[in-house]
Amino acid sequence: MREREAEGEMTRSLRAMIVDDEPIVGRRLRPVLEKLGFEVEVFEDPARALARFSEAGFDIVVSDVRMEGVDGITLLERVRASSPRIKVILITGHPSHEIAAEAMAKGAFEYIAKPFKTDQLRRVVERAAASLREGEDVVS
Amino acid sequence: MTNLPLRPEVRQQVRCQTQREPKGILENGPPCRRKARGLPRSVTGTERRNLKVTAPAMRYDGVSSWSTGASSRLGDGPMSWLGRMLRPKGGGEALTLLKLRVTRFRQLLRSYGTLLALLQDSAEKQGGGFILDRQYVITLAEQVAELADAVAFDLNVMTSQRNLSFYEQSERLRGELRSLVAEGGAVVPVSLGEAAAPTVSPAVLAAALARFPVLYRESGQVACRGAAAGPVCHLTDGPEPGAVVPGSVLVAADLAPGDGVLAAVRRVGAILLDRGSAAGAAARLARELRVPAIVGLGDATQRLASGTEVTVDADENVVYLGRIAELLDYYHSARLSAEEEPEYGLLRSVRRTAFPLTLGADQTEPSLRDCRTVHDLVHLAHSLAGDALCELLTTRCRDAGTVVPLAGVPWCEVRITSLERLPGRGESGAAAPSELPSRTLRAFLDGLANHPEPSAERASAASSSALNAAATEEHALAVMTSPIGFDMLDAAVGEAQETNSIYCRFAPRGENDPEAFRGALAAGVLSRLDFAVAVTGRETSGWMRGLPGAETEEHVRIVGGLFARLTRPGAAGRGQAAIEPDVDAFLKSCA
Repeated sequence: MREREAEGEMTRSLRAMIVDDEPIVGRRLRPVLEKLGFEVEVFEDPARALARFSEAGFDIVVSDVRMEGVDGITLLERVRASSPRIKVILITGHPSHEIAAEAMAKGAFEYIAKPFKTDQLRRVVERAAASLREGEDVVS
Repeated sequence: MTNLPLRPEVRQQVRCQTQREPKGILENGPPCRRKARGLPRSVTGTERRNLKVTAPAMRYDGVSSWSTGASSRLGDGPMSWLGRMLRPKGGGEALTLLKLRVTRFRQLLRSYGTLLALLQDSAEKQGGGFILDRQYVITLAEQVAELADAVAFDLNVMTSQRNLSFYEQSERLRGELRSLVAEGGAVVPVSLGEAAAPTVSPAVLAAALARFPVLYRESGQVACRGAAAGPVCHLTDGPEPGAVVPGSVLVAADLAPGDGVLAAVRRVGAILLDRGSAAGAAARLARELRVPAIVGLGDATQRLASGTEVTVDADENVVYLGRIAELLDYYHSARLSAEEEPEYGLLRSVRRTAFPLTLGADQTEPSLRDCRTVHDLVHLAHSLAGDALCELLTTRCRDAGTVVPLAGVPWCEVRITSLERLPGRGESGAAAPSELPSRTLRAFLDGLANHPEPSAERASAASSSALNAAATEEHALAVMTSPIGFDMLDAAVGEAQETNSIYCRFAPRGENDPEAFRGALAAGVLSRLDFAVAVTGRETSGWMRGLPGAETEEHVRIVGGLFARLTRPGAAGRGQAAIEPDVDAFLKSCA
């Protein structure tokens, strides 16, 4: 029990950003991450998300790939350039091997095709959080 | 919609379904509308070359006709009946046509299977356990529309273009789906905007969730999202059906209609079921009444004692032991369960246009005008295609078959046509299903011949029955005709599990059977065997695919037994209540 509480303490300080131009995604993902103890901010406009990112620190970014203005790959590049320790999880309704390969090559922590179960994202986020705590990537 | 990228499996499906049947060899029909849609319809050079190679192998090779006087054929010549059966007989073109039509029919069945898979998949998504966006719904609509179009095409190939109006109906449904998607895209989720700020902080929520033991996580399927907590209440706890404690968590094996189920579901806070799927009736009821529900948990009735306090988080497919007040507060303050997102509303609309089978059991001859959904259209198409295939097999190709007096089936003339050169089995001369080189047909005939029906009773009813079958090593088509109509089996059993499939259909009414007991019995048996069952006034049909070879073979054997069982005379005056014992008795007899 104490271990679990201690784990909760550690998770509590983590901050997550969700970026998707489809409102349903942010609305549905927010509770998944908040149940894990994350402080969550949701953005439908990727440009606003990037602006906010430069103001406040985040540990994990969950972003759609195909968005108007700034796409998920560009967002990944900028976020990672700014802070390499940040874990970026990309989600997409248009999965392709090429985009997946590009995303992983550019440092994405994970690439998930929509629709996906909330549990699938939860496990990926838990791995990302563990990786952050350990300061090294967890082999998936 | 047509500009949207298709998923790989859809592309494959569409590719398969636009393969042409060589018109020149088959028949001259009126121009197909497919041509007007810019799709190819002529035979390709490769297809012609292939036909030149394969056609001679199927032609009559000069052996005299021995398709009659069957009983004297056994072991009376230099070759066994089996060896002779394997040699292609007269009517080479009819056989080629049969082979092509069988392939086309199987393609129709694959479309049907794909539609059912989409139904199941989208029901899971509708339940709410997934994160989806509008793109998913658009792709679903596109897949369904493509299926309707492909099915209209395949049906017309099978019926010499006699059902061109299916294209119009397909186009109408496509237009309806397109409108839904366009309207759905225009909806602005005004009321949803930002969810209210929860009064429970994430840290407190996470710590609370970590304190409670998890009873189930991802063990079942989410039927309706949301969260609730309460004491477990079994459906059978109350003094009368439906007398459940308000706000409790209803636990049951399944929720069959009636017995106060509706009243019970209205009172409870959440539902946990042992059985069922997100596409099932109980799941639909839960969604209709917006009651958080998880189905298919397997052992909830055994594991959860009455009165046990549990918390159901159907958003994440988790059941906790105990009441987690923080989670309930979080949901309440954030209004998470209160509204349905537009994407889910759109998904519901698309599913309503695509999936319900509205052709009722009272419509003995449903027409295209009765088809209100894509499922109706697909169902009627494969039903009419089955009619055409039955006619071809039992008339034009009848003489190409060999009468095989199988042991155990003296009450029915069995005529078998080989659709390929099957490996011979020597000169055994034995006449038993076990000698057949077709694994699938062997299993079917084994079930048919060995089902323990009272022979005297059956003989009188089945004396006018005839069984025509066409087979390859892995595939079998069998049609049993009688004065009441026909029953059909199309099955494939091979090494590749994903292509194993069984389709069967039965005439719904027997003689002296106004209540359609025959069809109801078939539906009862097939449901127990986990077939996807459809009942209309035209037929009762069942479909399944993807089981391992041995299991598929066993199911084919049981279907063979069902063919035998249904030769028994009809049961006048027997209502639906009489079916279950008969289903039990039948399945017991197959054990």
